[in-house]
Amino acid sequence: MNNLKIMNSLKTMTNNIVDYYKETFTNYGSNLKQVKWKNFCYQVALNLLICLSYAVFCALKEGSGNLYMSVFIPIFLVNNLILLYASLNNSSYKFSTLIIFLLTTGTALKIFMMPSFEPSSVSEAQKNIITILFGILASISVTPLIKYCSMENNVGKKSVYLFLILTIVLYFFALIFGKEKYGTKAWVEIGPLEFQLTEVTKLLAIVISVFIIKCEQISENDKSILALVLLCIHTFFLFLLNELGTLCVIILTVFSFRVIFVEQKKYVIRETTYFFVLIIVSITLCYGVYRISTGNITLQETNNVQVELPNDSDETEENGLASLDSSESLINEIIDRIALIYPKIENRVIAFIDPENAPEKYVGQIERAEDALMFTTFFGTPSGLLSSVPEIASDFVFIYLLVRLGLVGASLVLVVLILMLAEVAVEYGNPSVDRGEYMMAFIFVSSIVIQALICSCSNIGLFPVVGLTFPFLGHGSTTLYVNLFMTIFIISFLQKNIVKEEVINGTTK
Amino acid sequence: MEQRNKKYVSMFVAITCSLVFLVMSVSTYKTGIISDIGPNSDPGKYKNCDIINRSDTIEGIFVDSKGNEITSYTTSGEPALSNYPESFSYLIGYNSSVLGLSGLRGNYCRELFEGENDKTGGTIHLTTNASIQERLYNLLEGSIGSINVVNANTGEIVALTSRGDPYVGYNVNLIDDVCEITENKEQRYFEYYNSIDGFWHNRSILAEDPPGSTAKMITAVSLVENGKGDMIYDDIGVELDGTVINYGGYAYGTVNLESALNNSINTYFARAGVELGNERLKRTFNNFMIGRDIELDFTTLKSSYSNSNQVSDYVLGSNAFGQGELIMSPLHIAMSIGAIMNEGTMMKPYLINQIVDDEKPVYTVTSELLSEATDATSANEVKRLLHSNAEYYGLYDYFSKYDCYIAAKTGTAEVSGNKGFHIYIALGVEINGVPYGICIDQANTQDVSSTLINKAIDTIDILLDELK
Repeated sequence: MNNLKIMNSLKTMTNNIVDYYKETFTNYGSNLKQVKWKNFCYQVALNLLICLSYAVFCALKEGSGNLYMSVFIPIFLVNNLILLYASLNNSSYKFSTLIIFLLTTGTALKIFMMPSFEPSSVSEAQKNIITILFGILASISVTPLIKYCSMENNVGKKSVYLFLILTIVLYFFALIFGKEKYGTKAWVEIGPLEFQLTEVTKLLAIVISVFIIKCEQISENDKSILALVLLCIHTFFLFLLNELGTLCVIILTVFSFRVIFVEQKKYVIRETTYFFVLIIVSITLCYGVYRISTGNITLQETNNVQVELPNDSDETEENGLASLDSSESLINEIIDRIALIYPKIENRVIAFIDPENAPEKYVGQIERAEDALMFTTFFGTPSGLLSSVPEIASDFVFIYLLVRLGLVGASLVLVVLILMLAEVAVEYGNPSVDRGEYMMAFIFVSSIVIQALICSCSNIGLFPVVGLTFPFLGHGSTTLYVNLFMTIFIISFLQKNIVKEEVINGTTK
Repeated sequence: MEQRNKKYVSMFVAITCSLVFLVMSVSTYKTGIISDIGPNSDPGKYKNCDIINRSDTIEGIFVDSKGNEITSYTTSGEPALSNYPESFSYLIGYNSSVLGLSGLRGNYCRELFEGENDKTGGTIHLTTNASIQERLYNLLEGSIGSINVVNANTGEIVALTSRGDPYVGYNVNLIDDVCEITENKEQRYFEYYNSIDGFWHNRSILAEDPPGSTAKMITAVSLVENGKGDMIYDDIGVELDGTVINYGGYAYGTVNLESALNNSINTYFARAGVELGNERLKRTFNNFMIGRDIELDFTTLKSSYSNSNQVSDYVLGSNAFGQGELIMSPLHIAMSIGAIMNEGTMMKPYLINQIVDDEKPVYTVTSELLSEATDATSANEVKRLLHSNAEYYGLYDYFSKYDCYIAAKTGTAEVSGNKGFHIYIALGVEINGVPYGICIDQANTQDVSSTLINKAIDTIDILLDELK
């Protein structure tokens, strides 16, 4: 009987989703007939202007004059897909143009990335363009599903629990099958594809946060507990996988979101307090595990504080836990990883607050990044390899942005992100906006902006280095896919509000 | 939607805008675009030499304390020519089209390759005396080691010369040239140098071995300043349950501090270390900056002393006579004896006197106190004891006709890895009333430290000739 009920409800849900897809694509058809092609052409011209400006910039500053056909025309064509999608959704072109600017900037920066790339990384830029293309197409396919789930009354208690369980399953998958890369175990290989699973779980965390607030079947008290559980799950697993950057983004995004949208602030205060108490207790426990596992090895004091890690310290941390025998049980691996949490956090905190006493490898890259800043001008510095700055393509890409595009270029990028946030934020005043969709769009754009701010702050010494890349600019296909998905969703969100606003104002076209 | 939440959305956007403003403000500050406010305007701190465009600039030059050119101008894109291609190599470093920049050239790449108003780099005035440097370098032929001379009164480095191979000299002018020494005609000099183990190390500042018995002068300071300078010891040739013995297994009977220094008695100092205790001994060594990184204008000088507050008597005793968990560089040994010669005041060594570009000084150094290593009374007492050492070594016989006060302490350190010994002689010399700290060392040798006495005599001869 129960099985029959489940089957029926699944069937109903599937039919609803299929119907929603049909409705979406029907709307695309009707919107296409209503497209103002003149406006569309203006946007295409603006897109072309952005792409060619970068091509000219590269020609003048970098000395590469032949990138029009190999890089900037292809990215122009791919960017037009975003404009086309905006047209299909009858959406605002403003947001699309902002995204196009970021994507083109990211592609341009990849041309002269170093040191692990060839001096002329045209192929890297081209790979980036292909990633953007697939990202856009995949996002367009998946967006209607998430929009359906975001709408009022479409999220039940079971959906929330299902997503939480899915998150835990994905994390265990990463723990068991994940590959150690760049000091984390977040990478998973499926056939020829390799992707960063923690980016997917980050997206899940953000989506679940919205679902928790929207779900009317759960009491406010239970929602607060669920939010706390959500954060604890992510904190625990991301510590194990050494993904401190993703954890920072999730914590800041979810807390900000809950402060803004939870009606009764007392729950937010309560869960914040509980969460930080849990963090302190957990770190204390991790310290205990660390001390037990290191046995007689003691912390060396003063001078260079070298925190000894289990096994061979530096190699162990750099290679993640490469020294672990793959046949060890999962429990042993978890215990070993717990032992590593405390020293990792301590080294990063010490590198931030007391660099003179931090191990060289944590401080060296920050020092070199600050030195690179000396070559920042207002409009960018031509050529030369920033090979002294490690992780220039990912963790320190903001430094690269500052040096290559100058203070003006970097300011422009940050302003674009603020404008994206503002574009979504102003929709709050629109009475016809679906609350669920709004929250989803808002949390998506917030997470992008928060990630950008964490990356830029850590690059210039305002925040500890946590290994986070700048959205759209840094290296990382999975990050790019996730960011594209979020922005495609936002574009589709902005659609309904424009139409409804015009109807309300009596200016139906 | 609830309007009361609207203010939170607005606040979030406002906070984000503020953070963006903060990021750009801090970035602008750190770039130094607003001149003289940026934190990275200190010369010699720049590490990103890869981005310097060297092809359009005439490399700046180095001159010594007397204004003699150490390197000379060439043309745009070409390395400056070193007039002392071997004796200054470890200091000034190479300018290689393959390897980039090293040494002072790497540290001061901005000053050397970015002229203020023209395409010619600046001139860096060093504290070293080229003639002294060259003559001391020649003394090192046939050995691996260094000779280091520091003006203990001001901290000026008079000479810092090093040798990484007994017979192959490091010639910076040839770095990219095809090597004619080896049979492989395609091999370049840097590849040849690379094939020699430890060749690239600047021995003056390399801290990888204990200082041996030269550390006894610091233990002696600790004894004196803690009121134990009159310690009498009955030496039976072994100490600390037989773990410490004297060189040659000798037993010296009843000895005092002066006798212990003269004969470099390990057992005396091992017992002294235990009597002093870790806290007092460590304090003295820390006052001599041992166990602390010292940021100089051309390197970070490293050293180490037992970090833990709980050490065994064996480690304590070993530290006291110059083994154990003690590591310091030859330059640091020179600084230490210089501090003793300078009434206990250790001045910060420096190599760069001034940087000039377009005839304008862009950087001028001033002497800086590094540490009050000990009080004047203790320093003078130990100085007297080390002078007694110099007499014991026969040094004073050579220089009694000059008005030249000499203090000395030899040292032999056991090193791991079947590389033999690392031998030292620390010298304190007063010339024209100016105290100098000197350290001569030789690595990977089977000789004993007393074999350095002749080199010490030659060194003092050269200094008297050049400085008096």
